Amino acid sequence: MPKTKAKLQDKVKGLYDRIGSDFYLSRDDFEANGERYNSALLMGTLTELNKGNMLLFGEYGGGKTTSAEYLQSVFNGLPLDLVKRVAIRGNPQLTEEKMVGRPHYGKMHQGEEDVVWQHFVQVGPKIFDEFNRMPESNQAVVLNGVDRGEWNYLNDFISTGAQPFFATCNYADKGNNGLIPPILDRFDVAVESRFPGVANALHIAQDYHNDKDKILSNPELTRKALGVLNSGKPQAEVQTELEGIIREHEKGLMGKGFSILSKEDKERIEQEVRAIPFDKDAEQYFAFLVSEMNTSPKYGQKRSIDPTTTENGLYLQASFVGSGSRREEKSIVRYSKSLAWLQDQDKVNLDHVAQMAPYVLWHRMRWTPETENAFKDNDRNDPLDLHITKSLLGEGTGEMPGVKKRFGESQENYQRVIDLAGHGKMDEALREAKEYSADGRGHPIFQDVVKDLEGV
Amino acid sequence: MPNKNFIKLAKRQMNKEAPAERIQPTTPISQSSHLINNASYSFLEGDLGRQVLEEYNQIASKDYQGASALNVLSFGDNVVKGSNPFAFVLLNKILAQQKMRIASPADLERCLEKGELDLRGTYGDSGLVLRDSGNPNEYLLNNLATQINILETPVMIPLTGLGLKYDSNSPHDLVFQSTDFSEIIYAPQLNKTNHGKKFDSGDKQGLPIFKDNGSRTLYSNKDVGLYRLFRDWDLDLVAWDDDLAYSVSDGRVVVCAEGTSQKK
Repeated sequence: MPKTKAKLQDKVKGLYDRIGSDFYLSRDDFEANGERYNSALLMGTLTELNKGNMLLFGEYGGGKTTSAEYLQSVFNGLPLDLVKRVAIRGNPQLTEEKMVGRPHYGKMHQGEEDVVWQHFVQVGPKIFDEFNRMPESNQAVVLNGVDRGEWNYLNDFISTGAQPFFATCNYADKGNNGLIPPILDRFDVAVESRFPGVANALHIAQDYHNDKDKILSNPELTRKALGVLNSGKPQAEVQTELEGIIREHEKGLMGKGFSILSKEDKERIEQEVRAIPFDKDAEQYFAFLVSEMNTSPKYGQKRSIDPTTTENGLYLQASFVGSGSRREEKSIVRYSKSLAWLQDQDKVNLDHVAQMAPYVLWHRMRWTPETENAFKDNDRNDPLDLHITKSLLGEGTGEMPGVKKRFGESQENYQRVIDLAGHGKMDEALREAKEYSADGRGHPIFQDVVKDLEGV
Repeated sequence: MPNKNFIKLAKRQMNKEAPAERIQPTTPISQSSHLINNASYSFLEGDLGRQVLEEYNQIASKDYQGASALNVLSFGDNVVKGSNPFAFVLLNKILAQQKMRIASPADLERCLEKGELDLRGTYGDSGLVLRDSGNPNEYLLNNLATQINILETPVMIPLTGLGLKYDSNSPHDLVFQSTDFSEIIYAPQLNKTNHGKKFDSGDKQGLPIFKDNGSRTLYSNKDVGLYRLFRDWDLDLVAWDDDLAYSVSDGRVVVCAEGTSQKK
């Protein structure tokens, strides 16, 4: 094992452990390959590594914002008080001018056009608190900027590149708006920030004024950073000066026993994560999942405008409204790879994908009422949608078998088709794929393979 | 021209050795269409039972020339009594108009799991078992075999997916018809070698999950011909009875209603 790789993973695990033990007290609720984690902290960590978008659900005061603030501060060397200052809190009156940029009023009076960028867009790592209190049109403005790492206002723009983004949402109440499917699809993963247990809650209750936060805060550097952000200097200069402030803060953190992830470390991690391949089981399970989410023997492909039907069997496609998306498949790949990297594995294995996929999909899935009815009375630890997703992507139940169960049943047949095609026996591969497809009643992967082999 | 990305994927995932030619055909694996655990179960009884039976008798007389194998159901004690596979296929056709169905083997297992009905002391048909070609019931077996693709036997076909047709050449003047909803389930559990094995519950297709000290028994000591599949008075599973027309008053119709249109 290369030394540098272990060192980087140890650094990341060190940061994860430090946040978990000193700042965001929680219980482990996620397991992959025998290692246990807290899902909110783990997904947050992987979001930092991937520069992804993460949605945090939970009750009021349940630690959603707090966990995001700690993660952004610790993984990016930003003073915690600065992270809090530049975060945005959603409300129905938020406009593009309050979030992104506004005209420079002084220059405007002199007939000049210039933009004053808001702090939220100038600082790379972002938190949007109570995201669903904002109207949908403004949610899209933020996500367009986050996706591209570029922000436009009037005829100007600034670029911060891809950066980690956290959005928190309270569970539905009168004061918030729904998140529409295209918006939800922009979030790589979603987690619930959970009750940490009585002992942890009592411990947190003793922290009168969040005294522990002082370790991560630096009022002097925060003031300095705000001065830079308000300076009106060109963005490149602002970024350079901010990086200087970050390095200064990191020195202080190192003195307090924190590991520091440098810009070079992060680039190296990104390269290493990207280079990790899927093993055969992982890739084939992923193929089965994608086929179940996107194919429909009755309607050619799965679409949000077509009704769901169980006519061809109780595959995943019959259990939800809508279809899969290329974004969610990318999210599964990126997050599974980064989990494999964190666990120091040479390849992404089945457990990485099977454990990660539910967190990529549950906020995107619109289960049919029949599916919800089938699960709503179950004993469970997760929110209903996550519970259903975990079950149906896993072994499922006696009544509703899951993707992983079907994968186990049909993998041998799929491997035969793959072997035949791989060895150039196209006619035989097509004949067997058609047999296994069973006129639309077999696994959807075979319907898709038939199309590929026929070149349709 | 095959999709080049699929070929790349196949090259990446293939085993070094080319696969050997299949010695035996493999049965395609398909999924049930029924969201079973969302269903509710009841006996065919009360006003519904009376109405359905009335319609049943009319259709049996008119469309099936009063075939004697269909003249087996009665109404007494406020419930429809009797059971054989011909009668159940016709009943299912009538129930389907009201978005209900007779219970499939899988339904019966779920019904037992849920404990919604006390089925002890009654019996009820739920499927057909097709074994290798030959008697008993060779005519019906061959007739069905021409309609469906059987790769390997034994095969279990739930009655819920079958149709019925008058055929004066058939020993019972009736033949079973394959439909778009027919499920052809390869059922090695029903092999002769498993005769007498114990079990407590069924899998998702309603076939027994064997267990050494189970309380229920599979009766399956046959390897040729066509048989009825029914749950008997002690909840055992019977897959060796070739008398397809036989029916007595202990027979009960278990009706299954799906999801939001539940019938209690």
